[in-house]
Amino acid sequence: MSLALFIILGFCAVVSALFVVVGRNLFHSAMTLGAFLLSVSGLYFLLDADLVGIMQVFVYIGGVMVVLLFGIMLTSQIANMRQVSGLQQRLSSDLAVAVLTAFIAAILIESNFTVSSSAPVKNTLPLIGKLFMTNYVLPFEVISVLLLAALIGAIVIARGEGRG
Amino acid sequence: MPLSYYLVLSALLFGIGLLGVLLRKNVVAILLSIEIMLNACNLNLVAFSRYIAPSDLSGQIFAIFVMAIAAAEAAVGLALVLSIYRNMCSIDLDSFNIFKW
Repeated sequence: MSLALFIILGFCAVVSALFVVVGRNLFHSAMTLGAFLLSVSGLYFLLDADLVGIMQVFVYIGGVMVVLLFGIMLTSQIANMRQVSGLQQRLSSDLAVAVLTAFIAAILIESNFTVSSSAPVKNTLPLIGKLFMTNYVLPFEVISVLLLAALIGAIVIARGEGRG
Repeated sequence: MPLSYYLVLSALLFGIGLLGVLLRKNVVAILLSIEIMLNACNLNLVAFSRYIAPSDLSGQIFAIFVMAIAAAEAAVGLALVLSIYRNMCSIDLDSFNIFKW
């Protein structure tokens, strides 16, 4: 049962990622990225990571994808996309990425990871909340500072010149 | 469900995202492909956390941090794209050559 779900979700993820990468229409690519993020969220739920799965829907689909769609609509170059790279560049990139992916996959298959047989945590939300406040409180505070810096930087960059 | 299935899937998704970053000329399309790569890394982290140390959850916390960083990077990247589009009226990657001498 979980194998069937994994195959369906993995297939959806790979197909939508391929469409994002080779799609001609930029708006359709962004919408298919939403489908990709949704299938990855399903994979997180299959891995018993419920907080990560629901945060994926909130942050990525509800935040990042909406911001990217605004960027696409504001720069409005959807239709005239002459984005075909040269044939030689495409072939060499395809070959290099295929070799790299096969190398990484071969390393990951051949390695002997000591898989633990204990049961996964059923409800991760309280445990992650407690870990954020005890073990990982320093990265938590640092990332809030980073988000503040990114927000202020994005506003300053996008605001434009000569506004006083 | 062996661990290696998830690892091979995440390697495949990483390769697809990398292909998008290398081959696309539109800057927003490159940002979309970077999001695919980051999601592949997150999937790898969560799979390792689930199979090797299920009670530890540090892989999932790492994945949440990566998610926050990806959101910040998408916001700043789009601010840059908007600023460049305002100055140059095109987002074709070949015309961003003001740093070339």
